[in-house]
Amino acid sequence: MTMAGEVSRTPVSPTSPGFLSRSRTVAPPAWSRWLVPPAALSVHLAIGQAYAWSVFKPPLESSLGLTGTASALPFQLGIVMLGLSAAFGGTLVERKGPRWAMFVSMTCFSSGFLLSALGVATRNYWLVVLGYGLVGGIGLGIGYISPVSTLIKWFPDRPGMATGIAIMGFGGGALIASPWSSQMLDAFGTGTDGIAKAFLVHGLVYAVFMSVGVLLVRVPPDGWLPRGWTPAKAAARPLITTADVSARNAIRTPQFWCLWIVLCFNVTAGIGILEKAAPMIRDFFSATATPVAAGAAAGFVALLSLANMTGRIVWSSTSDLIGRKNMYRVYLGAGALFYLVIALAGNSSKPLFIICALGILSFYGGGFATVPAYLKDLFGTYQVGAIHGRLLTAWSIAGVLGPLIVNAIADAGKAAGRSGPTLYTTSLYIMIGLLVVGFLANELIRPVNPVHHERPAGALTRPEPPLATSQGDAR
Amino acid sequence: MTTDRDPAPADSGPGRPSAPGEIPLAPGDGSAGGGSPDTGRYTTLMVLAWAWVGLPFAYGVYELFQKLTQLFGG
Repeated sequence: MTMAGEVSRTPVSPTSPGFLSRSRTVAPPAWSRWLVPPAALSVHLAIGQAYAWSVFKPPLESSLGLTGTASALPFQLGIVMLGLSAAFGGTLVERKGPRWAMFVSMTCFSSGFLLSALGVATRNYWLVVLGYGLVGGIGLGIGYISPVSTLIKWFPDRPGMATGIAIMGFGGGALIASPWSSQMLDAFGTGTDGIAKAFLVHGLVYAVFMSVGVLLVRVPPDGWLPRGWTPAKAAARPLITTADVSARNAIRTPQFWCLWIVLCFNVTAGIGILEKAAPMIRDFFSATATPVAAGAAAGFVALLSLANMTGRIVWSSTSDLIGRKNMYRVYLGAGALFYLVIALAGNSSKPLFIICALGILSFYGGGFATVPAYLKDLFGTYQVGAIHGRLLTAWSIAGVLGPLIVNAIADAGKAAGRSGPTLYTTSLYIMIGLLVVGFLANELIRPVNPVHHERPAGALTRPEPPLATSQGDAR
Repeated sequence: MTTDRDPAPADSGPGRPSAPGEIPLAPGDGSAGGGSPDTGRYTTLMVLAWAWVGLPFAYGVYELFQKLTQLFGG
């Protein structure tokens, strides 16, 4: 790899690597690592728009004559494509570098909106599905993992905080897009012309917004370390390795699959509440003296979004101090206790219900944001972005599992004539069970067997065991 | 804000991992010294970059609190 200083001074010749290549993104001298989080945020704040898709649902349904299921399809396909492109594109992202990945994400995400604009303007629903869901969804997946590896390499001393900032951006993207898209629809109208114009503006504005990330992102020179920090210092903590494991080898380790279960069940527990938050709080307190109005339920959903977003940065940063394994003990253990309190308290206390739900959602966000740092601890920085991409398949499964459990049980309860908290009691105990299984999976995580470690170039002997080998230790 | 980076010579191939325990340490502080043109340029860039993402984010948080105030504050 070219040295940082050389890159910035070497004139670009016809044989120079392309602007998007990894070697052209090596940071010049005096470059601050604190310029990398805004680059990551410019991508994550944009693609986080996906969670605000519901703003477009009613206008699409009325103008194109769609059912609720049909209007949800572009979003659902987008989330499926997010998982698939993150899983299968992770290795390519590692090889090509963050600028290439952010450029691909920008191109796909913006093109998705432009195709959707064309689809709505021509009243072609399937072009909207293809544009936003398929093409835009690739932009979501590649964009989601694009800055993770780079941030971890710039912040090896605080990986939880660094990835927490970026992944908080994904939660924050909906906070921006929801009112912005609503205001745009108010201005342009909710007919096909208005929606098409809104999609067009979204595509263009997001292209400009994300392009700053493309231009700004830099990778550290090989061997770069924060001043005064050494890998050995961090590796003095159990479970943190200085070795590297490839993505191909990582998925052959029990650690990867334990962490897959941890993420899947933590997300399932959170998304079960998040997806049904408004009807859930209304059902819970419907038979009390102070039932929850529709407006207040919407406020509850907004509060949950805030808890989800705040948890991403707060808990992920906390994991840098107390260790990743301990942090997941809190997410899964305290999360299970919160669910238990909700199940036992029923509709006796609204504040208690809200506090517990906020705690669960903050752990849901924290679980997402902390997992890249956990992967870095276990597998090193070599292909952490690609490993993260493969782990995100757990999100895809949980995205189906959580709502399925809660909705199916509530629907069956309503069909049987039940009401109030009893509609959810079984779901709550299932979530507790899943969190307990996730807790046990977290307990099983040990340092990776050195047989999976990458050998340094020229090494003829087997790698030394990692510095962190104290089995069962918790930080 | 800090500029705590120490560029180190790289002699390994792109993307190749270093040996466990053998990650090369930086030879010294290679960043531009205080008062250099680079430092000033990057400080401006830092402010602009954080404003670029911070302002839309602040707008989103403001809108959220407006919603909460309307719902719970009357």
